Amino acid sequence: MKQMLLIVLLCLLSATTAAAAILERPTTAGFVFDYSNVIDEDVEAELNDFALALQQSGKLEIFFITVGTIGDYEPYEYGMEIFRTWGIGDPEKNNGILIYVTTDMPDEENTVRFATGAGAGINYPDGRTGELIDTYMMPSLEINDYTTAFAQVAEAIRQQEELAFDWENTEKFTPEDDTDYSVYFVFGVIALFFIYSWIKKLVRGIQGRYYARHLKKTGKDIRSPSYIKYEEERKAAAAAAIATSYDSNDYNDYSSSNDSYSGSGGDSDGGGSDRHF
Amino acid sequence: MGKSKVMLGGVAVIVVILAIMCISTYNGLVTSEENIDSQWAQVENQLQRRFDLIPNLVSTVEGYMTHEREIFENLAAARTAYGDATNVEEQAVANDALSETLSQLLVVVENYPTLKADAQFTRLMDELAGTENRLAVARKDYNEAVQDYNEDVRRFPGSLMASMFGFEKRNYFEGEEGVEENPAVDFGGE
Repeated sequence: MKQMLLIVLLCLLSATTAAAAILERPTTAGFVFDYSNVIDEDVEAELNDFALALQQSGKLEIFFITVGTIGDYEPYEYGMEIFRTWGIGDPEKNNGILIYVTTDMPDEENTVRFATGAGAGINYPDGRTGELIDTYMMPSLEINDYTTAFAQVAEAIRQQEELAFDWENTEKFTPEDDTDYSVYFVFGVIALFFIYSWIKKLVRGIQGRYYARHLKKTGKDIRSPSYIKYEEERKAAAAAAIATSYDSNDYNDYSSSNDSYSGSGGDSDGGGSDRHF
Repeated sequence: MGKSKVMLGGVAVIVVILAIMCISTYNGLVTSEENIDSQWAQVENQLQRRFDLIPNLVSTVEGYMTHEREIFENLAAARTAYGDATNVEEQAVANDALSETLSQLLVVVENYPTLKADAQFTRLMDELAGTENRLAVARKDYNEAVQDYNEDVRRFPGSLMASMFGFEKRNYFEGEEGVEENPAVDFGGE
């Protein structure tokens, strides 16, 4: 009995270590599968929203994955396995993209791969994918900043696809952006607004005092219609209760159809580039 | 009288069933063979792509590697050999020779750091690496298609249909033993 148990355990063990690498197709919706848990939660959520918007626009279907290791697989082999097992991209257009990063492989052997389907490869030829990795991912990956790597490459793709999508975490996604000027501009507008309303109040005040003095002196009411309206509005505003309402946040539903998995079943031809870091 | 009619009916039913089986087996073989052809088209696609990339590569690196005449000559010869290949086997052999020459080139490139830093060169090497990968994928898909078909042709009842209608075993895409490695393109981060 004990021997049987040992044999069974050994079999299980060898089975699991041999199959260490290929991930099963997920059953949850979403486009970011951070198995190594190295991407910040809020950035992960934004990447999900971005990928969903991109999928809905029909341009691309991107999946972001982090794994510990890809075992003995070549980077392109692993990418192909995932692509085909998961089915990434529209099956007609083959516009899938898979960006995966390994985190736990021995030094200098960690891999980042930007794999493309045949359709996506038209706008993202291998030279371009290599360029995207080198420019937007490698600097961050060298210092193990996975969050920034994914964020910046996502922004680069957004720009190339000309997709209108606002990042909330702008520092992570667009650090090159010079936000100083826009801040000054906003302050300027707010300041102008305050100055304008202050001047208006001043003018109305002077008007009011003039009318009052005239009334005292001559007993005649010479208030202009606009001033009368202003007075009534002021009274109404003072008397009214201030109510605030909050819009409920939309709950983002990542699922694209009945199946809660977000991929569409496309294929890859093995294109894309990879780097070691 | 009744007995022979029943027998006749039984034979008719058996004949119909056999006919259906034959047809479906035949169709299965046809589908398998078509699949091979479509996979082969993909392989040829990628081979052509690599064939077309090589002149770009040569012109980009020639300026940097003025003393490496031998490599370029080997590359030109391998490329010509591929162009001259007429059937699958010849193409496979020529393909392996080309892969080997390319990997030799990559080894030599390591001695030219200025070349490695050149953006144009990096892009080209990415294209080449990508093509090698696509070639490997197409090759694997093709060989799997050939395997499926060959199994169908050799197994029963496919073997009957095959010999009747002339379906023959197809060749795998493989060259000499030991020359199966794709040229490894490894760029460590700077």
